[in-house]
Amino acid sequence: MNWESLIYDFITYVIFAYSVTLLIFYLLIAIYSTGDARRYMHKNSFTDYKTLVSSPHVPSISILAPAYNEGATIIENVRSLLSVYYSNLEVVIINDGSKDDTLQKLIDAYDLEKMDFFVRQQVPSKDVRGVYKSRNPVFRKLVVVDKVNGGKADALNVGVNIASNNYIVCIDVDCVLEQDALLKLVKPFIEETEVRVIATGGVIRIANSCLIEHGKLLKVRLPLQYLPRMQVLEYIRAFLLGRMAWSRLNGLLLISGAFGAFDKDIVIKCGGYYHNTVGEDMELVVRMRRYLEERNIPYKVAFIPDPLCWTEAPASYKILARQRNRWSRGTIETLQMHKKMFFNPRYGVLGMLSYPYWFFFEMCAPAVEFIGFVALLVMSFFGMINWGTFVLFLFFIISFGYTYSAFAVLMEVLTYNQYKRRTDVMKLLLTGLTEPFLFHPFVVWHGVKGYIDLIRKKKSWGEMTRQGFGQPPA
Amino acid sequence: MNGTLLYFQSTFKTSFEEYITPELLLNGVLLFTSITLSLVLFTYIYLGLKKKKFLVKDRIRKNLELWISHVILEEDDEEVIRIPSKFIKIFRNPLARQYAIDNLIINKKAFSGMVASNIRNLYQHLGFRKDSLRKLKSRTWYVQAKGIQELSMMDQNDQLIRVYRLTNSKNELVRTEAQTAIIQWAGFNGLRFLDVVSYAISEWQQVQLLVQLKNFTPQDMPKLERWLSSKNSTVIIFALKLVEVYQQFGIRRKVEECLLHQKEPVRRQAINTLLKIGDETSAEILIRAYNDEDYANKISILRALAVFANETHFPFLVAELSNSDDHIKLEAARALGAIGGVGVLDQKAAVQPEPYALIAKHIKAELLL
Repeated sequence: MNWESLIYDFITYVIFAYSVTLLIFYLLIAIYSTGDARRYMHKNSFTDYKTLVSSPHVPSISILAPAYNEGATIIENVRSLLSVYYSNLEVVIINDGSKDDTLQKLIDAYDLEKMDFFVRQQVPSKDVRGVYKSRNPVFRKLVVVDKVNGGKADALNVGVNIASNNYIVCIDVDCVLEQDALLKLVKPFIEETEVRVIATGGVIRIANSCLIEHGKLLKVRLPLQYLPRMQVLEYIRAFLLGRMAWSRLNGLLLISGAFGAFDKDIVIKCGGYYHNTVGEDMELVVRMRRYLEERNIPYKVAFIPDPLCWTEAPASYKILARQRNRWSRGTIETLQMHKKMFFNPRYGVLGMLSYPYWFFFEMCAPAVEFIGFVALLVMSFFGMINWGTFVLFLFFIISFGYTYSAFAVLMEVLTYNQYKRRTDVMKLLLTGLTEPFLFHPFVVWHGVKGYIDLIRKKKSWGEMTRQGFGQPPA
Repeated sequence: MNGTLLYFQSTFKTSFEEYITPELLLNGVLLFTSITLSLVLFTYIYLGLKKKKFLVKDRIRKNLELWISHVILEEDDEEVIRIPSKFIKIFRNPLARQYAIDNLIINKKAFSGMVASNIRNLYQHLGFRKDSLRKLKSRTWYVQAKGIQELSMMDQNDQLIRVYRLTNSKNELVRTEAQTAIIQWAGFNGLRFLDVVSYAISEWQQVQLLVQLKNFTPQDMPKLERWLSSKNSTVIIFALKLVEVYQQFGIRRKVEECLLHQKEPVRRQAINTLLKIGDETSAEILIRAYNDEDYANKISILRALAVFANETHFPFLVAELSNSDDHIKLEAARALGAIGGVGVLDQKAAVQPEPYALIAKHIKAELLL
């Protein structure tokens, strides 16, 4: 056996072992998630949310919604948040030093006045320029904070300092919430009696092409454009299968920054959002979990499969590239900060399973795939490729991917069935067929570019221009 | 097929092929492709069945709704309900029966008085009670819970003893539905399950029970004191909430005893309850408890002091103004503001403007709102 075959064997076996382990994980995730989703659906069918929503005994919640240059849509967005059904609610809009007229529009529309306000410095944040409230009792739930620009994490920290309630719901200001979303999201906190629930996440759905009027979702439609439609499938897989399974194992590392609820007390004890990462949502959950693990306090990060929040997904390759680049950097930064937990039995499921899974199959995946691709090119140049093995192996992986996607679509149909038309389901499945050839390579490439940007110490979020609801697709 | 396999076999030249044979990979591809196609087929069969179910439901709805509303609204309570022959056939279908039960439950929630009574009669006359009783006997937790829910919504009070036994079931959903049913049937008297429940009553369930109790005229709760001494801390918390909501001033001393309970959530609820039923003497008791309390309870005590502290408590609150924690500072200032101590805040601000000048302004702005 010469060195060439040694290299060949090494690469072949490593990639094969990696793929098989990943496939086994996916299989287990798919199987494990179904039981929990089924149990949740049965249990949830008994709850009459309408009768509970007006109860004064439900816990009070503060919604924290950072806004940066949202002048075009801010009034509509705030109206949508204020119209959510929940009795004990405070809506805190944090204007993160917008350069446009976001603040002025809010002042005019909601009859706001600047108040003398003592900001409790419970977690570090940049200076607050002013706190505004309305004298109009209709808008008594609304608090608008104007602050020096400091990024999303900093804006959320200001929100934590301002919030007057024990549970905080962090949300992207342009998200559209289901009417009973808050009650469903807060339920796990007060339903659990054995352990402390520190955070809850719900399913995020893609709102592109949906009919939305006055901040309310009127009709669910499958996105007309390719990229958002592809992301519908991606989100169904991630939320309905992945997060349900990890939540059942109590190994969930990520609550989406677009919509998640947190126990404010633990957030403050952990020091709030960390400014120096672009993956502040994941980093906070990991830090909260680590804090409780290190103190041996029983806890849980919950996840519910209800579609609670609708958001606009990137519809252009440029914006999607920025998003995936940022997600890649955020994951690496978070895992790097908490590397102490890697295969550390002290952290239980978190250290022995969740962290290693994220390390190998979320963080390293773009690198492994990219290296595999480069190796393929080099080896084919030197005539070292066994094309028979390669083609069969490729088909094997692709066919598994299709199975996983088909299973995710079936789960969606069996549970919430948002896309009711048979043609929509077919379109979704057919879009999935293109994933290995178009969407996936694009996402992998921008994940790799995220690595490069991280090495170059790039810290920016990248502008996430949104098309806006009700706008025709470009 | 054999030709393809031979091709792949001839190209495998390394040790890899010893373990991962082309047959294995090809079989894997075929397996996953078959599973994918089966999943897609199943998805479409399911969608088809769902559509069929919807159409059946729609047909039943059209047939039933008019008749049900007529029977509910027009028929006399005592009059014998005649079932049209076409419905006898329809109700042989379990889907139709369940749909009709669900429909009656929705209507029952919306109506009261004679109409509600007619809905109950209709439920019994159509033999749906038997369906609910069958569900009650089921060993599947969600079916059993569904049976309890149906019987409770349809006022089948004769099942009270059977369902009462389930108020301490090991299954959470069965337990909570049974507790809800007992309240539905017996109102405040149904709270007797608090005597026996050994499992925790979640805060969520407590909210549901309180919402449900609002439908009944408040009654004496002679066992309240006993519940406040329960071994189950969640029973104590719920009893404290009952004291708070129904203003049971007579057992204030017992509530004050709960301030010394070993469990922090009990003490916190006791503080919140005292906030609603306490008097000027409660301020002293809370201040005595303050130093031994955790952070969250300290905040709760300061909020309670905003309600019943007086000038004699200024020194305590002024001392807390100097606490290193901003939240405690602000709550102490809020309490001072609420009991007429704005002047004290101004004095503090004059001596030490940073941060007290802003705190004083904040409190004044809040008082103006």
